[in-house]
Amino acid sequence: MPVQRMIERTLPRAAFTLVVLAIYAFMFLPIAVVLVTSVGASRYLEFPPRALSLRWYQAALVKDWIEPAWVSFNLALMSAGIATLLGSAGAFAIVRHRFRGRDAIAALLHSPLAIPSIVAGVAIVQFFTVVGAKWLLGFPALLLAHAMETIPFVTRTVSVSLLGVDRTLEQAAMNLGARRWQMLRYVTLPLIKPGLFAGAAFAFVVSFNNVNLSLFLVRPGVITLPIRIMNFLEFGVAPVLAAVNILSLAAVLVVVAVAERVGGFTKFLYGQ
Amino acid sequence: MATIPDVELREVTKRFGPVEAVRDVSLQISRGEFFTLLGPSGCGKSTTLNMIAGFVDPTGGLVFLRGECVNYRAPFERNTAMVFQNYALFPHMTVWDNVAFGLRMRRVPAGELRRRVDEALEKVRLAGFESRFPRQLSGGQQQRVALARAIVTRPAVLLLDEPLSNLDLKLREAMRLELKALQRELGVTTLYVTHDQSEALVMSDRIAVMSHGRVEQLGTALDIYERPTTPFVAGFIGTTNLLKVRTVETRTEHRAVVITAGGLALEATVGSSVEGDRLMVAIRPEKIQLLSPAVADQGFHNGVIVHTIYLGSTVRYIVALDGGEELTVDQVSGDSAVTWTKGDRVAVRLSPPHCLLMGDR
Amino acid sequence: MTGVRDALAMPAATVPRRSLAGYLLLALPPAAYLVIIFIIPLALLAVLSLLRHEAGLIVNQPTLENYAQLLGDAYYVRVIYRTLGTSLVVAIFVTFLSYPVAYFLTRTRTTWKPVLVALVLAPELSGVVLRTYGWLVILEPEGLLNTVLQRLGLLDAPLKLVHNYTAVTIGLTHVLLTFGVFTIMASLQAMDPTLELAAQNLGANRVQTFLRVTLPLTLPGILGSFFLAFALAAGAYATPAILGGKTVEVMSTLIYTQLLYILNWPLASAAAVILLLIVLTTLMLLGRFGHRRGAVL
Repeated sequence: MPVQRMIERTLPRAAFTLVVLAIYAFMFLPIAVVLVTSVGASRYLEFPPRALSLRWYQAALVKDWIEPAWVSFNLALMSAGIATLLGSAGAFAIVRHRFRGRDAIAALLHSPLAIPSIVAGVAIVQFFTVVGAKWLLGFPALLLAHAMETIPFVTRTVSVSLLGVDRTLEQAAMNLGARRWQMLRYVTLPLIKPGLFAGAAFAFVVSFNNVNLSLFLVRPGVITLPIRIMNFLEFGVAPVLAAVNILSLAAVLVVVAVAERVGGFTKFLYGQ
Repeated sequence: MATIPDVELREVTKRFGPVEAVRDVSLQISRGEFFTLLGPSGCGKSTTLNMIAGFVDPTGGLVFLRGECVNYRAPFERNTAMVFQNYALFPHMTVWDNVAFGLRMRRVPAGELRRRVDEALEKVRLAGFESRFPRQLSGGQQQRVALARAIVTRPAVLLLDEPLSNLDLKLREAMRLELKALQRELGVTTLYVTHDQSEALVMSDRIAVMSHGRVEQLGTALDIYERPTTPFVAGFIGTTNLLKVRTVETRTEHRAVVITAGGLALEATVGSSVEGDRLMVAIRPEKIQLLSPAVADQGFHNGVIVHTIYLGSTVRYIVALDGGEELTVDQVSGDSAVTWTKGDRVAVRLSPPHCLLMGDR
Repeated sequence: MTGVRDALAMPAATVPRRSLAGYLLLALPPAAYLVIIFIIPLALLAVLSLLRHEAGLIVNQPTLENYAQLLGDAYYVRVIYRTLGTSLVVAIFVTFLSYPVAYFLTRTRTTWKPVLVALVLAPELSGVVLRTYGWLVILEPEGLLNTVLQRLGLLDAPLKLVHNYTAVTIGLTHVLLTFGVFTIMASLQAMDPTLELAAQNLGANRVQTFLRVTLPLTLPGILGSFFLAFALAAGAYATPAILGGKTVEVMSTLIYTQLLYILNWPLASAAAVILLLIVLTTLMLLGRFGHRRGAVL
């Protein structure tokens, strides 16, 4: 019975694909809902909206929201920068050197991933207070903490990239007369660029969206966008939040797109 | 030789932990010579190459390039040019940029740089491929880019690390001749590393056969093949019959009469290294003569054909001698040649110049 | 003999010839940074958790009473249990939902694969707050789900769908899916796909092949996904705070309240230490369960 055989063969596969599609739908449902809500006209939350309007976007583009967004943007950019510098240095040390204590260093560089960041947040705010550096709370403390949290991502991606670099390419460069810095500049760095940018982009996104560390480290006047939204949510589900959220996502997408343009990090995601 | 050799190793040794990868290797390579390090994998030939390039520091001994000791020089200060086994072409650079890399590092002026890169690509017949990326090229083409990238820097010595091993057989055989012709044309001193004996025999002016970190024998292709001095060399290059010696009856400076473990009495030529407690006689299969027992007189050994293998231009016979020794014998095949079949009785002639007495270290 | 030499001769050229100074130059800055901004504060946290808190002040006197309070008081114990329970359920959901997606993405031959992979990553870009807000819009009394159900005539009055553990569980599962998919995908990609063909060639059907070959070989990914989801759920603040409202209290909200409102730092520290121990114990137990730690982190 070829028809029956066909059904027997294709049915499980079709069912499986359907399950996967359903999970995809689950993943995008809330985001789609926020997107639709943001263009609704009503003052109350209604779904689906009866009329479309950009009024919430207008309401979102005010000082109250732009200020925390600017804080978050700068914070994410700077902490990604610090994490990229420190994380790549760590990755080079781990991958390219064989010395005692290397495993301990590797574990240390990855340790922020294994510990709930809310615990780290509590620890850091208490630390700065106890050692008399309370003045650091606000932007400096946020920056230091976010960079700490994102170092493991960069270490990870750069390590993987470095491991993928064929050592004979570096030998070839030196054999052709390249000094160490020239080898690094013209051979090693171009080859790990996708991993470097993947780590940096990831660090940016993690910092930009961070709640658990910022929770304790923000100060009046220096508040990040996610915390501002959280605080606002205590008073209810205002539609302006939908617009704020969508604009924030758009900002992240722009940064990620720029990073992709410059660094081509999708090569890292798919290439290895 | 009054001139200074381009490459000289003096008692170079490399230890990795307890293992001696290279021991006391000394050799000199003169200007324009094609020199090959030949040996099985793990014999230390690549380590030797890497010590010349500067990727590995010798544990002991001295490395000279054009008369200067380079032991403490970084790889980029040595002016060697290597063709890596996997070619090591920079994947993010075009063919042109790959070839130009070494000249850029040497700060060669733009005009000269362009001329030399074009010339090198011309030499390896890759003009027109300048803007391709390595991954867009075939294995053979990649190999030639690697070669161009190396020769364009006009190195003191061109180092080739099994450069043909990733090519298929046909291409490999064509590239041997091409590589050799290019080397002649450029007159570049070349050190070639391979485990392929036929490659070594075809291309080299001189060959150093290595085993367990040591140079077993150093000489021309003819020397190595016709007059191997150790059982390892005799066995590694071509096919050879190695007969263990039980007793030495008489021995002069050049000739000896020995009895083999199989009870065979024969006269052999004394080689240059007959030290060691275990002596052996090596005889190449094609140097053995087979005759019908009817026409044979004294000086022949009798035996029976136990196996015949057709090899195309030759036929290989396995002959069991009456004393118990087994010999491999190659005879030219063809219409005019006498052929034998399994079970035939034959007479075997072992001429003293072709029986080489040597010691096993 | 030759074997040893082979092994040594190959990396001979690849052994880095770098100095200790170079190593320290690279390793020290990030290591020192993490020690100062992460390790020392954690140590201080442990110390603080062992100090007495009296009348709004920290007294320099070692005590275990913060822990006694957290582990003795029925309310706090319930918070700990709730945190554990919710995180476990979330970890299981995440792993179950992630596996089919990861499997699909690893085995599919469609040219859309890069897009589909990017789509899994995309929600991560939107952050926790946006997605949790989305769930609030869906689950609210006047939200999407209630409206739809009421219009379909399935409901008379709106259901109370937010401010409970179910909402928190849904929200956390959703937020952590990306991590699950990528962790499992890594171990599926590391697996040689011809092993599945070999199993089928030996007579195993699809289900048997999956259960006997694929599943055991991707166990590191499954455990990794489970741990990651568990740890992140246990430490999550935004989702329980938004979707749980005032009625839901978990470890993270407890720590937040104690630290910022009640200002009882020693108690907050003790709670943080307990949370940390819960996560590390889970990690250890999963590690014991038979996979290398490297696959988890």
